[in-house]
Amino acid sequence: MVNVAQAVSREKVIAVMNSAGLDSDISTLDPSMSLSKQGVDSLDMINAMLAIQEEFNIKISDADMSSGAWGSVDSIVASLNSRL
Amino acid sequence: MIGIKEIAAWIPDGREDNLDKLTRHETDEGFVLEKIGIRRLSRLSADQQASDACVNAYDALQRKCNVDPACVDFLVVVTQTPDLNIPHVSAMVHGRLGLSPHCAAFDISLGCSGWVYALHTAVAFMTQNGLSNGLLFTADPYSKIVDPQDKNTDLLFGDAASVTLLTTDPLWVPGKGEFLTDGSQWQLLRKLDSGALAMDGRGIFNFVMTELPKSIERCLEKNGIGKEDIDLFALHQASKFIVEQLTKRVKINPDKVPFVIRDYGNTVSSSIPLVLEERIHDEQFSRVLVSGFGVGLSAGTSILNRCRHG
Repeated sequence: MVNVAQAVSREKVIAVMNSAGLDSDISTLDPSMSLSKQGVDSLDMINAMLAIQEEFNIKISDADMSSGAWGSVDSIVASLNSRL
Repeated sequence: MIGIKEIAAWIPDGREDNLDKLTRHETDEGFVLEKIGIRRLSRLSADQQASDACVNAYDALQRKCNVDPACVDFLVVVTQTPDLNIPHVSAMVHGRLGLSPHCAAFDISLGCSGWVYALHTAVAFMTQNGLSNGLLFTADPYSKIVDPQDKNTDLLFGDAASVTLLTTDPLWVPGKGEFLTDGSQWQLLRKLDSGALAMDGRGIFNFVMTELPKSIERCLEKNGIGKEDIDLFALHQASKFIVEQLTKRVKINPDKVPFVIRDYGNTVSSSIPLVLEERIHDEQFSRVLVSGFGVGLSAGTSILNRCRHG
């Protein structure tokens, strides 16, 4: 688990998501684009979000998920840093 | 000593093809076949209910081993989709099988953890009361309550029933069980006022992935064994994705974790006995971990130890 007082980098988020064993290598995707539009299916998104919750010790609600704030790598980085 | 002598199952012939639903649920063949891992869903006919499925499972048991109905002194049915709310399904099954009036019969209302809970309940009840021939049925025809428009459930659940014969000369006996309940999340899988099933897949996934690995470890510890001592992990067959992810999280050899539901789907409390039905007679298996989890939220994990060959 990381210290949430430190800024979260894009590289860190990609590494955490890839650690979940998704079908896609997140580092090969456009970080500014929606992950689902780049072929990351709903089950892999659920899996990736659980990995992020565990790594950063946060809770991502269903409302958070549907807001779009966790839909791309860059939005995930921004959302995590906004919680610092 | 009470334990498992035989397991029989019944899967109806009727099928729904998940590939016929791709447009309705805006999904693709790869997701259905490789992630969910279920091509077809078994379906009861419109006039069949849970008790009919139990009777068919009993007929399958009779074809495997000749059970004398007059000697059956214990009967339990695990179901949350009974024929009627009153009476209990076990009474209806008792009547249709023509069992003795001295046979205890009751239902257990649990879903995917139900077989493990019922096994421990049955063994304790039979042991305490000096009973010697028990029938543990599972039957949850979720097709009766699935909304065909709901992608979360319409691609998952199949109908089936099983019966586990419990006797005083068993092949397998359970060790110590490990049980888990998180009632604060009961809303995640429930029957709505409309009568339709509703499931929060993400919530269930998070529960399973965070709590089951710890529960499985506690079960192994209670029984004084390690993962390396288990020949077969009979995990609830929720979906290919859940089974694979849980296998990774528990760090077990995938070769020891069967996934068998491609042609009939997630059969709720019947899924573990369906995995075990043939394998309990395979002599390469001496110790099996069984783990069911889902509605409640509830989980039950136990160890089955072979006590003789047969």
